[in-house]
Amino acid sequence: MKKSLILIVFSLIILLGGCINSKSDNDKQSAVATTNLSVEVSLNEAISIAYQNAVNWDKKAQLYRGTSVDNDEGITGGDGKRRYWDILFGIPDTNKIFLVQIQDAEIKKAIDITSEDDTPIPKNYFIDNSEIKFDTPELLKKAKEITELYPGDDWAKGYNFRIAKDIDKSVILIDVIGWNKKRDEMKGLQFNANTGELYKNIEGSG
Amino acid sequence: MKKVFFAISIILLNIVLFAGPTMAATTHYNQDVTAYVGKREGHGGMLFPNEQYETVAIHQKSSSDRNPIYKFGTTLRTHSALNLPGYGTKSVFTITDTGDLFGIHSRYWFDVYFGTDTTTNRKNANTFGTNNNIPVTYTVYN
Repeated sequence: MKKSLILIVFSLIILLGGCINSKSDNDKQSAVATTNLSVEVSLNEAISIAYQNAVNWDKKAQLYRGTSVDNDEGITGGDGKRRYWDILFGIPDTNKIFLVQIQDAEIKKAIDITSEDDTPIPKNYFIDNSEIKFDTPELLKKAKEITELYPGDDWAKGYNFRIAKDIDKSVILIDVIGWNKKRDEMKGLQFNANTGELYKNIEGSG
Repeated sequence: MKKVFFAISIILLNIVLFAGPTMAATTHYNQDVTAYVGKREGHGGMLFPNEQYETVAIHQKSSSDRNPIYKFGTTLRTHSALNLPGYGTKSVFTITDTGDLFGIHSRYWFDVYFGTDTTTNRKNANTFGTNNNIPVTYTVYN
């Protein structure tokens, strides 16, 4: 009898937890994972994790953009990896957008955030994954060789990273973001994701 | 025995309730929205590369706490698409900037980067959003 009671109580607790974790908004939410492990991943690893979910959403899904999210309590990103990422996918020439949020190497949330009012996003805004030849750990290392780049300690903590396409020049760019030594000015270096070459060094011009 | 069992159940319930994932979605209704122009390289101490019609700025937590009210890199989606001259309409933006240090606008105001400071972009920015009495409702995926 006691064992049955324990089983029922535990089942209720697990069920209740599931309900609470899956609440949020009216958007379609296709995946929620739970873990308490702290795992940092590089940009390409985050894209790779997210991509599987995106093609399940729509097999024509392509990478639109991605960024690290500054949710960490402490300084992070020193090895080019972060715990939190927002990766956006879409379907070229449509208004379909899919957000995949990565936390600790797992998909925390995957949501169709399409707005039917949106102008279709042209094909040239999208990124072909096979053209990304460089990743954030090596680009951060490169950035530090080019300039003195320090991790943020207040906001935009540690080093942050972003990938997007420069549509004017059709170049996939990976941004490596840090701070100057005094931590009063951000510094950003943009690299060509295909060649690894420095595209633009943004510092001290504000 | 019953007391111990009750205590364990309460502890487990608390773990489930409060140790779950922290990501959620938050909606803010009828907020101010404005547009700004400037260097792509950002401004002041904020040298994060701006992207036209993609970058948005929000308030800092306070004048002395430069942490933005939502984390750097957070995605937001407006409930009605915003009309962006020369592009069309768009709803999804990324928070990578802060602004309005004096808190003139509503608490959850946001500011859309309209590009470099050209006559056309400046004119477009000045006639956008709250300047035209158009508040915005949006969801933040934080």
